[in-house]
Amino acid sequence: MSARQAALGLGALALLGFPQLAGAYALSLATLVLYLATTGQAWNLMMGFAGQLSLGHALYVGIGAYSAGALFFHFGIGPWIGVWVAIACSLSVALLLGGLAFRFGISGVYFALLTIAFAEFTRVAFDHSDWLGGPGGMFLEVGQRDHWDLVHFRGPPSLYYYAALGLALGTLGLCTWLSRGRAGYYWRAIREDEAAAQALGIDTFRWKLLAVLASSAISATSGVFLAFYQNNLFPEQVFHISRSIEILLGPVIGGVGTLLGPIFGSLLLTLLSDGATELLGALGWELPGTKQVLYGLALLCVVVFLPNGVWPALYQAWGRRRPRLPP
Amino acid sequence: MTRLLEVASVGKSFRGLRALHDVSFEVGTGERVAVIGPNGAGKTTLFNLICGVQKPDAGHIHLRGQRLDGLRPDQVCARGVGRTFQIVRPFSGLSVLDNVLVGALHGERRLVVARERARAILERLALAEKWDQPAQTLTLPERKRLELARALATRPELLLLDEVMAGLRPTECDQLLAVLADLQRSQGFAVLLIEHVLRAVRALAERVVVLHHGELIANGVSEQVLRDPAVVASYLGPDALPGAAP
Repeated sequence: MSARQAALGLGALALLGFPQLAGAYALSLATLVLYLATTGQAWNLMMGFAGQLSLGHALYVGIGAYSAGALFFHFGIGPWIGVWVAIACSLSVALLLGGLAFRFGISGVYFALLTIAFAEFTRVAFDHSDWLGGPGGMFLEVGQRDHWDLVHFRGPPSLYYYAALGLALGTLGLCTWLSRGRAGYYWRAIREDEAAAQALGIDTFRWKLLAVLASSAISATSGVFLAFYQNNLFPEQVFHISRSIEILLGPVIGGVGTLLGPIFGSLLLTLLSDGATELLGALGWELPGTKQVLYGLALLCVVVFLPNGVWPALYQAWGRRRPRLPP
Repeated sequence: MTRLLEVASVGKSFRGLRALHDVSFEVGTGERVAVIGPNGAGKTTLFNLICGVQKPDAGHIHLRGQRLDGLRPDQVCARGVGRTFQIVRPFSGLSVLDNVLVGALHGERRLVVARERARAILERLALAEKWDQPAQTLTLPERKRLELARALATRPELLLLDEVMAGLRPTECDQLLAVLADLQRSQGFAVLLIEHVLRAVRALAERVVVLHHGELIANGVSEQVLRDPAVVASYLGPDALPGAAP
């Protein structure tokens, strides 16, 4: 057994055994990290691979969360069916947004603005929908919290931890597979130089749209998780731009366009912000806004010192002298 | 020699500025044709029209009898036209091999096969050593070769070269010319090149097309055209007459 396999095995054991070892707080943090790693990976698929900046990614998460949430709330339909409806709804919105933008050649900053606009429209629309609870929010019945009920996706915190772990690993697997195939090469080519990519026979409209669709589907799936984990949904929170920024901070700090960057990034950020909040709390200081300030500082440090993100810097430090691109 | 590319009475204006007017010429299968002319003569516009970056206002462009104008650049590539850009546009953040692989994936379903082909092309263009380096670490001559490698990877029947020699030292230029001539002989694609470096035109092109103020003023065998007084005048100004080719 090589050192690499041993490390992987130990890592897997640690991840699987974590709920047995950790307390409730640590478990909730780990769940949050895994959730953010998934949404970050989805955002990274669009921006890091295909070069399409989304500043409104909370849109897809929120659509997913609300679709499955509403099905459960109104009709008692569980998340296993709800997730497919959520993906379908999210894909429709992504198709509309991407189709419109790419057909009319909207790119760069203007594309990013369009993604914000879509998220904001949706927030306002949901705020005015009584069926979805409006600004007062939608509350899913919590039911029991003692034993695992996989059918209704109800149970103790460890259930949600394992679900988030499964989602994060599944997304990592999917993104690895995509990035190593034709899609990955085409997306990176489009990201680097769209005109040159087109000159090499790549139908850029089709492949960019595909990136948005794939990203929205993953985001919607994590949205379904969010709905059943949090059990309450408010348009003001779910679709708010700060949520979209939270999604992209992980990959930006971890390393845009890399597979492990979003995971490193969300881990770092969560540890940093919650660690500091805990520390301040232990010292007896109440400083609201600490999290945001720390996010800002972390981002600033990365932009100045590690413009490619933390993970590529680690990779180069561990790795070879020749410049190579991190996975 | 059968007709491969046919440019028929093509015209293009930009807000009243006539970039091309009534330009017609042909390129045969496996033929090597150079487009020359002073700056602003419409050479790059001509390339952009062929590649589908812009649409002509008048006239038609056909490849093997199939209409090319009105298609998107990727569709033009799919019909068998590869191109390089005047200012090199490597995918900077991708490795050298991946740059070529993107081209080689065109029309190839299997990644492994495409990667092998990309490696073989890098070998031919003396870039194999640097396969795993990011393209942004390459020198200008290497970038030029990478640009060429990428275009060749799509297996073009017609290769459009937009000033591939510009910025190269004479020795580098000669090396690239030798490689190009060798590849062209073995693979048999036709070449249409825009070039200011006349040693490259002489070495590579069998035929020369001359553009001046958007109009075609000469079309014929290289040595004759390059000695044509009107061509020399358009290039060097009337003062240069009577003179030898530059």
